[in-house]
Amino acid sequence: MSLHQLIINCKKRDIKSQSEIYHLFAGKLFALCLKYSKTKQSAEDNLQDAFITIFDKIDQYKFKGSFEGWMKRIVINTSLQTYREKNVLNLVEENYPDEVEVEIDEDELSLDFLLKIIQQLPERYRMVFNLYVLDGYSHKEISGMLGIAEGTSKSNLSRARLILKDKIELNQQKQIVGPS
Amino acid sequence: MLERKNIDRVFQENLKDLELNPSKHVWNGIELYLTEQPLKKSIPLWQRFSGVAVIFILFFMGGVWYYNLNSITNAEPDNIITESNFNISEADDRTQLDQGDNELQKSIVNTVSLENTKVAHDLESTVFVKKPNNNVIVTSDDISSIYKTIDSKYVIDKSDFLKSLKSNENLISNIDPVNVKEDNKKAMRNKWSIGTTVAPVYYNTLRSGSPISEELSNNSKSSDNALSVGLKLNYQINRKFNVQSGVNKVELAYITSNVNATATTSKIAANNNITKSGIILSNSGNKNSDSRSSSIAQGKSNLSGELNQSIEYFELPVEMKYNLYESRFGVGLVGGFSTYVLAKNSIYMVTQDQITDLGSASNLNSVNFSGNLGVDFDYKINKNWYLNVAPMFKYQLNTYSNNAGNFQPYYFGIYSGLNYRF
Repeated sequence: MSLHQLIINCKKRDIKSQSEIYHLFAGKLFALCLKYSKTKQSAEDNLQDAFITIFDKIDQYKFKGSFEGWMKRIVINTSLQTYREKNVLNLVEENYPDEVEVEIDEDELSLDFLLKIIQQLPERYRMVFNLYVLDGYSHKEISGMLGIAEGTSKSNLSRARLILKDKIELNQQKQIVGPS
Repeated sequence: MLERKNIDRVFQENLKDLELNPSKHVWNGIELYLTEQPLKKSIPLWQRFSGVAVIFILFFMGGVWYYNLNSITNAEPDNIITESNFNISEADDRTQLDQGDNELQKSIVNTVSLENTKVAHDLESTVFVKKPNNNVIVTSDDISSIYKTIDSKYVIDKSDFLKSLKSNENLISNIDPVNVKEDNKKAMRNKWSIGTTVAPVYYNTLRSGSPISEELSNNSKSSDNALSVGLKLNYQINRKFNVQSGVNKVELAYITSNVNATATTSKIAANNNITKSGIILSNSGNKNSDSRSSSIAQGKSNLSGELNQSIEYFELPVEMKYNLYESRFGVGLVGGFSTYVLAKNSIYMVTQDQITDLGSASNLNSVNFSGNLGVDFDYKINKNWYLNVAPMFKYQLNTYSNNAGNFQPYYFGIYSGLNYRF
């Protein structure tokens, strides 16, 4: 069955098609959730909520633009919603230089490690880093999505990059020292 | 030699096509939601409680008001105490109602969604507050000051807000506004349900006293073999409120222990509210309590044992149910009132070796009312069938027309049943 037909069936609340859509996209969208969440558990919660929203609002998808992109936006929005609920009062501003370019030695870096250090970032830095670097949103868009100033988004991104760099370098040093 | 590379690119290249499988329970949860389509929660718990409190109080006030109306028309000396007690409780309820009203008002204002802004906009002294999630709430209470202290940019100008409403096309506005109509449509599919109810009932009084005779005020009393069976009809008004009615047959039995019943042909006025004439009742544990019974007891027919009052009503409840939590397992608060039509009224004297009919209670009203409060738990078996259990407290109003002393009956029942939604 084509994706188009599956979506039409989902609009009619056909549970088999809903299951098929879920199993087609769960892997990719779960990876997305993991990047935005601190733990596997909260990533799974977000994935579940996001799919419920997807199936509830599937009538709003009018076949304009990619379905996967539409779903990704819902997943990101669900993750942001969780972040907002937890961080209503967490509005402490820090000043870091805007737009720090960070370079690292390219080395064998495992996916697990990269995912782990993203998850270990402080909540806001993780959101900004993901939105900007991995999902291509502009600082202007991010400021709207997170309710922060554009400058804050930029300095958060710089801080996130520096933290990630430190962790990668620490890991590389360990690997060098490790075998001896 | 390792090449230096931009950190953004390292992450982009490595994580671009990442796929990881979630646990199976994620789909199980989604599937359960999709097949059950539970009602979504949207109002914070404290706001739900405050709304429910107002409804309960309104129903209760209605019942008390009706009772007062009745007691004024039936004004008998013995009822004066009861009536004044009710006035006190009425005053208490009013205070609570005022507080409840404020809470309700707040909850309405706080949960205004983008679509409803114009409605709230008409309220006096509203403040437009932008939450960190970019949604806008309209409020006239303390929340605005909290937001002001966090960051002044969260309080926005009204005209700016209305302008942004028109032009707002960003990602969040496309996804965020809850499609209320759609959710409602789902929840409203099966509005009606019908079911059976069975409840063991515990009948008792809030104050001591005896409705049968003043002489028996201090005797020990107990409830026995009480049962309510019936049919329940439920109509879902919206996602939160249900109205339910039905009909129940309620059998109540109330036992007074250590009673002496003496038959007399004496012209002395009877000291009780039973229809059989010439019976003097007294407390057998208190020999000298009644000069009349002791003076005529000698050589007369005398029975000693338990006095069993048996009452049967047809109950017509009208109740509101407010859903606190709705999923496969649901919890709701129930408040309302019932009308009772007296179907059976009899009093027996039960001794060790015989049962003697003493007629019926002359002071039982043929129609009376109760204020009802309770909690309803339900468990959905599938789309159409659900089980429910509801512990209910029913406070009786104007059960007795007069001479019932301080007797203030209530009953408590655990109503359970199987229901069908259609």
